[in-house]
Amino acid sequence: MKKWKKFLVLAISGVMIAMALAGCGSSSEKSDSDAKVEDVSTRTVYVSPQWVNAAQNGKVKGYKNVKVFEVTYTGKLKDSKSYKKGHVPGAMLIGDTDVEDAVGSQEEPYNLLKPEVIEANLLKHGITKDTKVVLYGEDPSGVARVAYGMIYDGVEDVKVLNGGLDAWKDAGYDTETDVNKAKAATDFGVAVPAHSEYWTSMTDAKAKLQSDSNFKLVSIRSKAEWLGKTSGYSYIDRAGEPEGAVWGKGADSAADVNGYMKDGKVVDLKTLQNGLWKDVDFTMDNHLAFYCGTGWRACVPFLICYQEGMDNISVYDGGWYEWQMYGDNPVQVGDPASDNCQHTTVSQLPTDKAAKN
Amino acid sequence: MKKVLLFLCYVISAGLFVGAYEIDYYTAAKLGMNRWVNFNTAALMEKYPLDTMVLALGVAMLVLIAIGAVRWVARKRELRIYVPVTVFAAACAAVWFFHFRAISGVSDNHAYYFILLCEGLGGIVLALIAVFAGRKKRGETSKNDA
Repeated sequence: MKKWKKFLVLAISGVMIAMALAGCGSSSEKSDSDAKVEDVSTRTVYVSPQWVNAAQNGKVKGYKNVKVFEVTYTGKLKDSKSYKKGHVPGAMLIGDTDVEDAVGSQEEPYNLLKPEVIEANLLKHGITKDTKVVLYGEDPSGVARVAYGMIYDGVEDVKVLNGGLDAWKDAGYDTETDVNKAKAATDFGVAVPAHSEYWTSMTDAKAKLQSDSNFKLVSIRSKAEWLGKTSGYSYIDRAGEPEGAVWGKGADSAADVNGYMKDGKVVDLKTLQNGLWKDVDFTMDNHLAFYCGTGWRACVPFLICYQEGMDNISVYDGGWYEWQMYGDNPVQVGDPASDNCQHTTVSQLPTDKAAKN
Repeated sequence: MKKVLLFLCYVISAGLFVGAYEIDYYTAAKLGMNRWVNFNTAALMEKYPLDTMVLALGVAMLVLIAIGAVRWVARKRELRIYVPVTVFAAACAAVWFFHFRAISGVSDNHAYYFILLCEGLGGIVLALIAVFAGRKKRGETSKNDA
């Protein structure tokens, strides 16, 4: 009997020890030190929160000194409510106005700033061509705009936290409210802009529409904008599209890129080709110059294609806003595949198509 | 009646300062509002000399503050505490006005015209309070309520 009891106690103890050891080996929801993150290349743009967290913790080779930025419109603390509420630990602020014009005159219609000005602004944030940058923000198109401006100027490795802060929190990571400031850099490291081929001017767009059958000016505006029912913007009076443009879809309004998102995250090119771009008037072999109203939404499909290694892509930066500033510019109003499409010039367009606020 | 008017003037002034803050905040936070303001300001700039008008507003504010301050200095023993406080508040508004004008004049956001308009008018209302409060009424010989 005594021997039997001894054996029972030993057996129960052994089971308990085994269970305790097994419990120590399991990872908690917030501890992902052993979690495998996706492999990325320099050109990869959209990354997971797990990847960003691993990079910040030095667990991704080559990304030990990654710099994370939250993108707001001005990049100033007083204007950045979302940043003050809580941000990715270590994140600094950067603004869309660090890469693009904020006045919207005919000379600079909300286009990218001069490359030297972008360079100076990036250096103020401690960003050079070799800096590994991760961006995130509330507005996917606003974030894409800054990423595009950085790539255009010459930053070689720009990533975007796919899903933004919501994805970060859903992954179980903490936020902080400390204000982090960048240490300025002095030498950008490359003549700017390093990638002028990614930027299409209005003059180039007009010329190539006439002379290059491989060139496709791809509107990714909403259906109502594409059909000329509204300009989409409270500050643009005329509606229509540049003559010869094709429709890439992607937006439900002037303020979203819902067609390029799924569950709050930007999709990849394969998903687009199998879905939204299944039946469009362009192929991946064309030179695709994306545009929208003023250049924000167009940066999202640009980045989707860019991260797949495509170089036959660009953004027609001025968009409809710049195009409709010139009375002689040819426009199409309506679906060009239909008989109802009107072909005219900007000066003939009615000026009552501004979106109501 | 005078107290009611005085109270209303302070409320109007406060409303104008809050308006300036709201315009500054929302044109910075909301892209669409920022660009709408730019678009409409550009149209106004073609019709009116906005830069000159804003400068004139600032100068008017300074002149009224100076009059209010001189009247207070001349009659400070007879005036209530709210007069120097109002002069001080108007002076702070003027400092902020010219500081904002200097830094925003080189920025790219046309919203600053509206911000300066609200802020300048708020400062002028405060300065007018001080000017009227500090005036000597006809036939006045002794301590008087401002």
